[in-house]
Amino acid sequence: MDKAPVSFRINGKTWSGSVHPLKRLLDTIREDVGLTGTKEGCGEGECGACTVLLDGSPVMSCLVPTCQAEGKEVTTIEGLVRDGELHPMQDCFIQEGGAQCGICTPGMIMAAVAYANDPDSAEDMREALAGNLCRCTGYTRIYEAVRCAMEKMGDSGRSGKKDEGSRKKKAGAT
Amino acid sequence: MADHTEVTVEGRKVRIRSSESEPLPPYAPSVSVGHPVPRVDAVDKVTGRAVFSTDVRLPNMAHVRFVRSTRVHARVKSIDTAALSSIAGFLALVDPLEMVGKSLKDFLGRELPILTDEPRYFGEELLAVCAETESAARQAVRAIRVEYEDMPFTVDPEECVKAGRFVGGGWSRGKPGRPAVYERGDVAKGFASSDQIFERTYRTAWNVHASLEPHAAVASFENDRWTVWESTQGVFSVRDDLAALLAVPSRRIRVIGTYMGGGFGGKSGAGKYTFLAAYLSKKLARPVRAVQDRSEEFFSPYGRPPSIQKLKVGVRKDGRIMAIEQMGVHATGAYEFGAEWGSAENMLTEMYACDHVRTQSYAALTNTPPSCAMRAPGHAQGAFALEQMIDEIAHALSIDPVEIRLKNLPSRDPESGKTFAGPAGVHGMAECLKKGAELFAWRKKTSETKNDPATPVKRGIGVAAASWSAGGGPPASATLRLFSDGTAELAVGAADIGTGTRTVLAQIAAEETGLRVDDIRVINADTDQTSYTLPSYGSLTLASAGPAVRRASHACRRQILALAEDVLQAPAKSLTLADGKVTRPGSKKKPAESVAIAEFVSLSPSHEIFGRGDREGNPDVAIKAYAAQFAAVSVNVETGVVAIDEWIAVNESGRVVNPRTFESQQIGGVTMGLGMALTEDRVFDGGTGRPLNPNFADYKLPTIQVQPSNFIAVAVDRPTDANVIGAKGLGEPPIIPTAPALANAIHSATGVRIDTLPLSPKGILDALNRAKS
Repeated sequence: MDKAPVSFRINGKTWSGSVHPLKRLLDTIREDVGLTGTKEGCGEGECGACTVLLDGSPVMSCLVPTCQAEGKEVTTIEGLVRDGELHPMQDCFIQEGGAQCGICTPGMIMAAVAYANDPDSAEDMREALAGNLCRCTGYTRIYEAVRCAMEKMGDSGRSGKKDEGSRKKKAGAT
Repeated sequence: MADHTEVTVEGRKVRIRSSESEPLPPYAPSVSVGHPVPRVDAVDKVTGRAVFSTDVRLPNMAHVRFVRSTRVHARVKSIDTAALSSIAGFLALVDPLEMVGKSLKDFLGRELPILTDEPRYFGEELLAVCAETESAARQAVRAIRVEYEDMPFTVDPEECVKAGRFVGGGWSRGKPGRPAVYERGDVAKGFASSDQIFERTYRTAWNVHASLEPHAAVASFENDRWTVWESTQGVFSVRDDLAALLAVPSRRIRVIGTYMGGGFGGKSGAGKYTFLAAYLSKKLARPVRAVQDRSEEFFSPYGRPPSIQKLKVGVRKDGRIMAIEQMGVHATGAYEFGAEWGSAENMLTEMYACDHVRTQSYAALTNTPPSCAMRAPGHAQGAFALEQMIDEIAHALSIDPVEIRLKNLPSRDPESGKTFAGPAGVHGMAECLKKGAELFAWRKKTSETKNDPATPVKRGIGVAAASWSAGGGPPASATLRLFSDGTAELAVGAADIGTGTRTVLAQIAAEETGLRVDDIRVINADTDQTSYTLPSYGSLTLASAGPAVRRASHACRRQILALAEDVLQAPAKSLTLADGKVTRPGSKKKPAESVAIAEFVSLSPSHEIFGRGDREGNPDVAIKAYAAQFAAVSVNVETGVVAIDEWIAVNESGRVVNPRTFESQQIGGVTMGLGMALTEDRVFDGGTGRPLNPNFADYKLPTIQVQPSNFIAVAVDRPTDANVIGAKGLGEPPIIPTAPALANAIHSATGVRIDTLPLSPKGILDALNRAKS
């Protein structure tokens, strides 16, 4: 099959180009749009390093054909900075030490932002981030970073308590 | 410090006097070192701005991919490449003939060919293709037809040993068909004087580093020089490997590895892909990118080899270890390459005081990917055996598992007989065990952990400990340039593999010079811009590069102080350097006065203040880091599922330069250990020899859901006197005690010992069933 025109919004700007409709959105973002903040860790939807938001929902962009992004809004790690200000999730990853080598960080942050924006989208934060692998941190600082950001982003009572509760519940369960 | 080293130069043995290092004032950091400074590169990492090797895109870049063997052991009979000509974008094919004599070399010089027509494991590289795009390269790989003549193989290390196909493991190159033997004392005598002898066979599984960034290189050849971006732990070793493979001088190669996505021992030198990228970039006169797929990470010469360890320990009634005898087998792959990495012996020979020790290491020449160093190579495997055995002995003799370890601590390094690095009078492992026991409430839990026979969920507790040589040492050097605006550039060769090297080194420079961490730009892991250092492996980075940075910074400090004495009219020793200023304290006559460091740089004769520091030699002592871990678990004996209720990790690695990065290393190491303990298992099918789970769906890494809900990591912050910053290494120690601590806790909960990794629900149920019948 040949290349076909495709157009979507990415980080608030319209991008139009010509790519194979089945080209992985990950590759379109990295190679055609030219944003390399989104990483490839496994290419098979298991590690979450390539997580981006598609109309606000987290997707693993290695599993999404570019044609599915047609007319939609894609948000990548580069799109979180607004008017030169870091997103609270980015601030908290810095403050809490949520990034080590940094390769999983963009995908992890995008998954965390999606969860923070909609805490009802998962049972708890651990479930929301279970599809994002990190080989360095052991996750504790990531957990704390996301909690910190959710408090900053408001809605802290609900989501904060929810995660504290699930943490305790988990500790007791076997 | 040892006053000389004996070396051989042109066949002649000579003694080289150790270089004199300037004595530095005692280290009493307060301003920056010891504080949880945020990572200096955190903004780059959270914004996606950090450029990793896999992100490097150059104009006109071509892509290389390998044709890999689909057989386990075979001779290539024919290769049909006719279809290549019809593939749009196909550029080049490289075959083994073009690569004759080109091979990777391990630490003992054993070779692994770049390409071969006699593959000895599934996935071995046969051919390389290069194309305009990655997808064209994949298409080209698929278009090539290879015909094989199959040959016999085995992926079972024990079968190999039985058939005599093995070499000695460990650090000397023995004769084929002979195990490597370590011996001190006389084990027969040791067992004769023992009251009780314990024997058990332990098995550890095949692991893989699974760095989230795969192995990757981008090479560009311009102006008769190569520039190579490599995801590596050691830019200088990649440069030196490439110089040898390309047969060119080092000056013609620049390797950049500033940002890299995890290593864990698997990215210590050039890979086959690196060489192909560099080779083809010159041949095709255009940049070439070589990035491995996730599945290829499982076929390549990376990962922790599995082990089978037969262990026999003799003890006196009072718990004193009298003799240790071990026979270890590990799968090293059919090339002998990397045979040094699977041996579990060192753990057994160095942990405890014991006069009679004998170990044998068999590196089996299996038809599997060659083995590699992986976080605490050998020790993580050895600990699974030894630290469970110690637990078993403690229970049999009714001695507390913490007490029995304290009782057997060596007062000198059992292997070398050397004294331990100071301060004297305290033992790091004892401190870890005591601190951990206290935090965990070990005694209380020991007496209170009881299980109701009626409930299927059984609670248990376990402990395990570790030691690891972590003194670092030369070669390492650093340079620091102070500019007249009060900012600076610190250049060090070391890679920051995610541990926080850049940050802690900036802290050391800030502490010494009085500059703010934020004003120091760290340039690292670039062979053009930094001086030589060893790769970031073996828990040596901070203890090697840190002292060099302090020395470089101290050289700058002296220059600042010389000018400040004149400007502030006060002796150097009365001045303090902090917050970008030099301050003379106030007195009755004169109020305090501060002058910006920038001012002194402007006044300096070269308008820049420059310092270079070389790592001093180590004193002639054994320098060890220590760890102890305590686990509380709940095991469901109906499902075999283990829940971790509490985990305490204590590490003694000398001075804590940054409590945040220190804690992160601990937690990350334990979590990798939990993967090793619970789920990580590369399976090679005995019948077909093929890897059955080369992907993250079936090779399970720990996720955030595995993280223990009550997880405390603490440091014993006790500076060593072995180097001028007082720090030791921390990379490997946290992973070593994890699997045995968990196994011991499972035993405490269920009464059964699981001697095989991973500790899967099936393994636990099988063991419970065996115990019943």
